[in-house]
Amino acid sequence: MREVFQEELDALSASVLEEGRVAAHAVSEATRALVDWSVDAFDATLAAEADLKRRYVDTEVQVETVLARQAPVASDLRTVLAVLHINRSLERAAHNAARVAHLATPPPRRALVEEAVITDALRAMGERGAEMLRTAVDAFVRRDPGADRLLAALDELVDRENEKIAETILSIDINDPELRQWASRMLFAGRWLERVGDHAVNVGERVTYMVTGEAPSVEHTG
Amino acid sequence: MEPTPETTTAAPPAGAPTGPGIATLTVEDRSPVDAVPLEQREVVFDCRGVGVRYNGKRALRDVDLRIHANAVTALIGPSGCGKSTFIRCLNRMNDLIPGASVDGEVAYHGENLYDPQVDPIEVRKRIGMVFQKPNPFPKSIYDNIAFGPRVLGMKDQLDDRVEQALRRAVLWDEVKDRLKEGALGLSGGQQQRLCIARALAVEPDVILMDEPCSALDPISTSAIEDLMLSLTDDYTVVIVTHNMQQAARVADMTAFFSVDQGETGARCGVLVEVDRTERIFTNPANERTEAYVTGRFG
Amino acid sequence: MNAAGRIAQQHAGVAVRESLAGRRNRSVAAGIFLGYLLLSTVVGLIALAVLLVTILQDGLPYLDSMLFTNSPSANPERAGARPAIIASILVAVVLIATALPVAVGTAVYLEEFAPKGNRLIDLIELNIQNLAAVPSIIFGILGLAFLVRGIDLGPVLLAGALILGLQMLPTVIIASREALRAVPDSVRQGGMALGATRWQVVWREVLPAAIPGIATGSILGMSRAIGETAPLLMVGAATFVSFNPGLLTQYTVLPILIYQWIKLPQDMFQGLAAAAIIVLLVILVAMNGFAIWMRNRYERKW
Repeated sequence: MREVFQEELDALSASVLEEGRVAAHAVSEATRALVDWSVDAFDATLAAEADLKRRYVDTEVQVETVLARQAPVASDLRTVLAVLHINRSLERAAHNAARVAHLATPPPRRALVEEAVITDALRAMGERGAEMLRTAVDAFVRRDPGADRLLAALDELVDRENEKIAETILSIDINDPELRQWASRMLFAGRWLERVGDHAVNVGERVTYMVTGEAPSVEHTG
Repeated sequence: MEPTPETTTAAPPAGAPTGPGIATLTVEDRSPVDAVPLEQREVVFDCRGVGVRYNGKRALRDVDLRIHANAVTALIGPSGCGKSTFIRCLNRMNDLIPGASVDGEVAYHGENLYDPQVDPIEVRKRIGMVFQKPNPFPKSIYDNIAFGPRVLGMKDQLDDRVEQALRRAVLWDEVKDRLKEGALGLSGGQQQRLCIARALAVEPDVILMDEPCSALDPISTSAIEDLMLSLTDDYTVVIVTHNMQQAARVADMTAFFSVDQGETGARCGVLVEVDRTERIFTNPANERTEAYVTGRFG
Repeated sequence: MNAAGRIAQQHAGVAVRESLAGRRNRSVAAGIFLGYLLLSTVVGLIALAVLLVTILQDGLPYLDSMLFTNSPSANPERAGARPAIIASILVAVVLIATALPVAVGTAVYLEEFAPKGNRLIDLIELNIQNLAAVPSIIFGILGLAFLVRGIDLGPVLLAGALILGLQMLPTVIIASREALRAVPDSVRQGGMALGATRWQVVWREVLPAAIPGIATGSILGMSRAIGETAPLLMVGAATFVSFNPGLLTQYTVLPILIYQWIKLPQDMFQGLAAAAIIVLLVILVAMNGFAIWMRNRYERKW
């Protein structure tokens, strides 16, 4: 029963899935732009962000329509509200990716060990971030009640690598102005990538609430 | 913002900025009844193992339900699930159906309603009922309201009683100039409010409503829903409704009834779940409840 | 749109029009049926008209005050119908006082208070239906056996009226029950839900609402009773009464008097009979008119 409603819910799920893919792609490409200084990657990131902005608005409108016309309750209501939140998280993640891409700068000394450590850490964070986004959206479609724990576990690496970047930057000689500028940019990039992880964790928490109906814990700042 | 007549301005907290350009919130005085959480209020009906048979055939079984004072309790469920049958147990209207027998215990303020010493007339004086299709008597508006007090010997200050009842039912202003006119000339929504006023005139404790709005248009429905909510200050309200959104809007507690099919194929009503309305509509415990409220019931 | 398109559209329009028109030939059968109905009505009306015209023609000249003041007499010049008119009115009074309350009470009991599905009650209901079909002369025999001779009441007006009342019972009971049944059950439910007893609900709400139907049934029953001759003859109604009758005296009623006068050879008596028929008709029309007025006045739309 309520076939049209079910189709609309399925359409919302499909939108979320696609948005997750685009957001993950944005993060991957942003990371590539950041550590490999690829101009293609830079363009791809911005294109993905623009694409996601459009999808974000479309999904919002879809949700509004479903709420107005179908008056969902119980698990349907939680699903629709989850879509609303996840939509926002994914859009923010793509936005963060764009910021990362804008921070791309080649390291000035190139051979410096610390520079390599920072670059490797950023690469790891970016890859993990993209993976987390894909995992989170997949957990949504699978209605995985353990999504919050799953994403929280994945986030640990992101936090560790971000810590590593901060520590490494502190050990760098601050008298080299070029190096200093590059390092501070990488610091910010790390923060943006860490935020991507947080957004993915938020999605995981939303999914768990959607499935279990138990009140979510306080969300990480996004 | 000008305070409206029914609201009072809550004093802004000390130290809060005031003055022109800063909006002040006007807040309605919260009824003292609302201050007591639902589950701690007095239990008006304590039903244990209540069931009904019609001519030996079981229609409802094993209902355990507590109804709290000064709240709206809604009974929802698909057709044939026994919710109307159950509500009629609460004022012994099932007595009037030949072949109907009620088992189990219905305790009203701790007293067994079906005790042989209990007079059903007294029961119905305290527990009023409003029906699905408005059923005013073919008489004047005044005589409709006055019927209850007259037959129950409450003949003093009849005019006042009639006016009070009509005011309570938010109908006084519309009919005060035509009390002697026929009740059947009123619109459907007005007739239903008249029936509510008629029930209120005998000063009951509880008001039962069996699908009170199903024959009415949306505006009348809305008026009666507002009325239901205002009645909880002084009365306990139990309503049967097949409109889930109505239950979601007005009820404090919601009880979901459904149909069990026995091995012999006999269909019998059962109580599936009863909880605060918010829980029922955001995260019901029973999957049958979930299937019903999301409309996947098939 | 091109020419081909326009032609196609026209054809489509014609097809729609044809399907809407349906098969008008069906109306031939309908016409015949309608014609038959009209004919039946007209036949009835014509018969009634002829009756009325004949009676009025014959009776009007003899409709004077003498009819109301004089007793019957062998001399047609001085004959009047006063005793018969008084007797008929007395019979009506007795009926209203005895048969009506019994009939309405029975109807109220059977409809509102009797346990449904009870064998005894079903038997009673069946017998009431049957009584309505019993020929009136049987009631006369019954009255003769039990009232006139059995309790030795004698051939008095009271006996005749009681028997007519008995005969009237089934009609009024059935009509009253219909009237009570027509009161929607929601009224009873509403009344009882307020804490009224069943009696209070019936007396205050159901019965008043059923008055129009009960009144109609009662008047119909009484109209028939006023026009009866056979049972009264059986219980010993006289044919020639010159004094004003009372409850426990001998008596004659208008229909019997009319019957008497028609049998007499003088032409004047035919005219007098016609005049008496007019009086009887006026009484009956007045009663029926009253019933219709009552019904219209108290009719409620459910």
